[in-house]
Amino acid sequence: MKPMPLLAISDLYFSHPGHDVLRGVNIEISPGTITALLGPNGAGKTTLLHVVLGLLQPQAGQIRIAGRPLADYSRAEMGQLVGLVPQTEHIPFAFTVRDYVLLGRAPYLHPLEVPRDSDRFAAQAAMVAVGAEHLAGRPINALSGGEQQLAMLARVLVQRPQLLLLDEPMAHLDLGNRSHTLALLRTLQSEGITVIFSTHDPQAAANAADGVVLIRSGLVLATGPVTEVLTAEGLTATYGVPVKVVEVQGRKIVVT
Amino acid sequence: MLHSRRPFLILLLLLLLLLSLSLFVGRYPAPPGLLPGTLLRDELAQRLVLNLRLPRILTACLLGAALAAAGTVLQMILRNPLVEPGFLGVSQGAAFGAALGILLLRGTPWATQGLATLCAGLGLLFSYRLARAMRFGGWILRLILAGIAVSAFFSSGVGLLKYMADPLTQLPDIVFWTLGGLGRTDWKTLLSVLPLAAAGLVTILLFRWRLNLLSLEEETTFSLGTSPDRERAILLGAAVAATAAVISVAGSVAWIGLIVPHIARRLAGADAQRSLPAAVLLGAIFALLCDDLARTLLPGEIPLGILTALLGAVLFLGLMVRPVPERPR
Repeated sequence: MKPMPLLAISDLYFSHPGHDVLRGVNIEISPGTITALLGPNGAGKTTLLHVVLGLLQPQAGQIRIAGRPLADYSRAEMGQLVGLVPQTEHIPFAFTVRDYVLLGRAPYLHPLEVPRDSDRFAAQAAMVAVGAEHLAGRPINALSGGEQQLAMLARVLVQRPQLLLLDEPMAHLDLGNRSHTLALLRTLQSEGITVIFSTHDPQAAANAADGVVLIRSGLVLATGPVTEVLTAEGLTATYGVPVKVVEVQGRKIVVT
Repeated sequence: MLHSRRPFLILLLLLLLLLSLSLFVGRYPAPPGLLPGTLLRDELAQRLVLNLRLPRILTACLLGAALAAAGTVLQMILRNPLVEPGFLGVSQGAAFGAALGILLLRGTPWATQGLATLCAGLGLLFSYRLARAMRFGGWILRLILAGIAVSAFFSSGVGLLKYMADPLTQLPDIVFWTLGGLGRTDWKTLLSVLPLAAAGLVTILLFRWRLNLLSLEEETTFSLGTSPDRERAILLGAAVAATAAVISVAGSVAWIGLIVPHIARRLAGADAQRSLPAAVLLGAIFALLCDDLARTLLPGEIPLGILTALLGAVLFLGLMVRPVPERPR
């Protein structure tokens, strides 16, 4: 018997006034996997993540997390269930990384509560787990792109979501920080977190993901394991330019 | 130690010191004030301290605390360290209401205060509705633009009322109100604004850690399980209530809401769990210090708003010109 999907999206439609963004999306995500949401710029990836988060209300269709429709969850429950690492996070105040990571405990605290010592220890542990403990006292708005990424990952790790959404996590990073982020996604996965990340880079999908969802103009073109979906035909159809996929030592390399 | 209470304790001690000192400072029997020994013997001095200085000192503290707390809330919710309660049409709305009360209802205290509070609330409401209706830019930008428009609308109204006012009786009242001051404060005025100001202040302080979440990007704030619209509405409402209450007795007192949150963040860090209580104490200290100077320096009283603006602007320049010290890593 197939296990119940952690996330099930069926016939999802979303449009901004005069502009259809998602046009009938169907996706199922198994628990404990890493999935790449792969498509060109403007394909609707960020919108899809925001609809799953509950930030945007779809015009039609249904989203179920762990079998229950999104609307059945309270806001605090949603915060405990789904985490988000946005593409960029501009923070106008000089929070220390320690204070910033601690904000990830919010879904577990009543609005009028302040963090307890146990929350501070959890934040400390999360910073150690992602290798950001040396940043603890630094102001968040004075970090490099790679360092800020670490702080954001520590913040969602301390949030302990079942489902983690990352919007273009590799976009602003250099090669070293990319592979470090990739390794961290595996760490998060080993902590039992199901990961979905959006990317416009097929190579990032090939390197990091177990499964791929190919999306273009608000339509899902293909879903499945990396080995089946990341093909020359599929990528050519997605990006509209000829794409080749070669295998080197059992790993897929995408060439245009 | 994971978080330090030291700045908070130092500020509390400073405030208590200044509070007790302020009781003796003044122009009776002669500047700079009276000696503790005189207070024991002089019955007039006792009545003066108890019925005039004490309520005035407490009102100054409440004024500073409320403006600093409201300033912190607005800066964090609007994600802009350069805003203060004057944005969103609150201060100008209050000034218009007060002028209206002076002109139409002969400046009876309850009319001036009531109308000032009402129009401050209207200022926020108009700004909010206008920002909702605008079709340009992001939410924060629209809110600030709407606030500028509503402020301009109210300040032109104040100008018109000044023009219509009787230059011998009403105009001076309006001008004094817009300059700000606590010269007419007694226990009755303090008690009339205490409930609203305290309710706003306590609400803000209860949300002190939560406020941090509202200063993040909208999508992150939402992803952390908050109800951003509702929580922002509660905090904005509390900030406006506290601001409207205190400026309805003190008149327009500028700069406290802008400068004090900055200094508090320098002292206690950006985390509002620490910077907000620090701002509340620091605001009380700043307003009390300015008011002590206002009633002591010259034989006639200096309007409080002039002193807060002068001291505030000097501090502001000091903060902006001096480089930020590197925090220990």
